[in-house]
Amino acid sequence: MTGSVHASTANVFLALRLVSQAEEPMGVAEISRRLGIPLSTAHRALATLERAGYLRRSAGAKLEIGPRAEKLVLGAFRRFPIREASLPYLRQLAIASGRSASLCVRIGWYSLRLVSIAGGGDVAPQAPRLGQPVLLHADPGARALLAALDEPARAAYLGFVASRKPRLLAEARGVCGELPERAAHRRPWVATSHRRDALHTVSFPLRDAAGAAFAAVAVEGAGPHRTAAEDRKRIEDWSALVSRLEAFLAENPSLFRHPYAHIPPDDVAFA
Amino acid sequence: MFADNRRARAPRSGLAPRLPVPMTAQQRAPQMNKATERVLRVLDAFADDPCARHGVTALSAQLGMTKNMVFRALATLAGEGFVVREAGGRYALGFRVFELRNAAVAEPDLRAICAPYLKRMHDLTGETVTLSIPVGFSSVVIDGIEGRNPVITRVLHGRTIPLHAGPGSRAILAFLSDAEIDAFLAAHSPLARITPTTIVEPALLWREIRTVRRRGHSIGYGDHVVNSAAVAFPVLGADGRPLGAIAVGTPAPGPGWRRIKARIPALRAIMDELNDRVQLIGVAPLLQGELPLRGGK
Repeated sequence: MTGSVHASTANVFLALRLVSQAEEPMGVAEISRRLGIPLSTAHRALATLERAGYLRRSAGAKLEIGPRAEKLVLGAFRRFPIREASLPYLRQLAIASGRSASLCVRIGWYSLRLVSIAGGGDVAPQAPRLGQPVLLHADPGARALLAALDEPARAAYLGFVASRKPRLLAEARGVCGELPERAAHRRPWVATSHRRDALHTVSFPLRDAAGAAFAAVAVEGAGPHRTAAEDRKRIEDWSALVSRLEAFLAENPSLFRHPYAHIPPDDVAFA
Repeated sequence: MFADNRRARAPRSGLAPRLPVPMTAQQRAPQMNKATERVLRVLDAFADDPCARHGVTALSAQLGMTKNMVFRALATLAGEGFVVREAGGRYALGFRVFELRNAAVAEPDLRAICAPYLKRMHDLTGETVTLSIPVGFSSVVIDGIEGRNPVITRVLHGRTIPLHAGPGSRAILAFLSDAEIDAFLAAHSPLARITPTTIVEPALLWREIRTVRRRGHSIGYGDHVVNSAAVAFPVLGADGRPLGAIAVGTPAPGPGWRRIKARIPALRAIMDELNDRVQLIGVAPLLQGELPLRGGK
C-alpha cells in the first residue's frame, strides 16, 4: 500500500512539473508518453491535480497550470520582502534610464528575477522570465552577484557547475575570468554586451549590513552606443539610484530577510 | 489612504477547477490517491499563507488530519522541494515551487497580464471587453476584445475619455484619493456633458464615487456613448492605486446587457483573481507619472 501510494504521489508531482514547464497546454496521452507511465495512471494523476485546482483544462480541453499552482508560485515571490520594497526604486531607475530595471536575488548558486520594470526603450530583454532560476553566470543581470564572490566562493561555484551542469563549465569559467576585480569600482558593477542582439546589461550588487551581496539590480536595454565616457556617466547616475535603494534597505534590515539563507548553496538545485 | 478606498472582498470560491473532472478514474481506484490528496491539502495551506512557518501540530488541527498524516505529507513535500524545514522544526514554502512557473508568470506588463482575463470575461459574456489606463485626468483604451453579436460596442484603441464619463473612467476615478478627485473637479469644472446622462454635478459624482467604492464596480448607462451600457472594475496595484479598469459593455437596452448584469458576480471573481496576481507580482503602471496629482495639490 505504502509503495503504491508513494508511486502515485510521485506521478502526480512529475505530471505537475511537466505541465507547468510546458510552453503549451498538454493532452493526457502526451503526458503519459512523456512520463513513460500507463494512460490510466496518467489520467488518475491528472484528475487528482485537476480536482485540487493545481491543473485546469484549457480551451482545447488540454491541461495547463491551475489557479492553486499559480497561487503557490506567486506566494513564493511574497517570501522575499525586498521585492515590494524595491518596486518604486526600480520604477524610477526604469524612467531615468529608459531601460528595463530588474531585481535578481541569489538562491544557492542560482539567480532568480523577482521584479522587472519595462523601460521606454525599443530594445528589452525577453528572457529569463520572472521566477525562473538561472545559474549565476548565465544571467547577465546577476553577474554582480558572481563578481562579489571571493575566490574560494567562485571556486565553489565552478565546482557546483562542474558537478551539476558539466557542459556549462567552460562557459562559467569564461564568465568568471572576465569579471572585474571586486574593488574595481566604488560601487562595483558589471556590464555585459550581447553583440548578437544588441542588448546591454549593467548589473549592480545590493549588499546587506554585513557587506554580502544579497541581490542585484540589472539595467538592460540597447547599447552600448555611446562613448565609453558617456556610458560611464550614465552608469554612475544609475549607480546613485541603486545606492538610494540600498540606503533604504539599510534602514529597514528586515527587508534583507532571505527565506532560504539557511540552506547551503550546494543543496539548492533546480531541475 | 488608498487601502481604505478598496472594497472589502467577499470570500472567494474561485479556486475550484472551472470544468467538471472526469471521475471515472477516481471511482475506480478511490484509495489510490487519498494520500496524494492529503499531500495536496497540506500544500494548499502553504499556498494560502505563503509567508507563514507551519508546524505539524497546527497543520493537523487546521486540516483535520492526524499528526502522522501531516508529518508524512510534509516529508513528501520536502522531498519534492515544495517545502523546506527551518530551524525549530517548522516548515515553510520551498524554493522549488518556482519550477512550477509557466508562460503566464511573465514580465509584469499590465496589458500582458490582463490579456487572459479579458479573454475569460469575453468568453463569459460574449460582449465587448476593454482595458483602459489612467493618463492625466483621462482614461485611455489600450486593449480589448469586441463582442460576438451582430451589434456591438467597439474597442477604439487610443480613445481618450474624461475621468467622470463612462464606467471605465469612473472605476479609475473612484479609487483615486479624495484629494486627487477634488483636484480633478477643480481643474475640470464645469464637467463636460458628453451625453444626456453624463454625470456633471459634483455632488452627484461624489455620490457615484462612494457607490463605486462600496460595491467595487461602476455601471454606466450611455453616459459616454449613447445607447450603450457597461460595468467596469478597477485594476488595483499593491498600494491600492488604480492601474487601469476593465469594462464589459454592450449596446443597450437589450439581451446583452441583461446577460452582463447576470454575470457581474462571476466577472468580479475573475477580477479578484486578476487583482491578486497584479498585487503579488507588483505590476508597474504602463505610463509613469500618469497620475500627477497623487496626494492632491
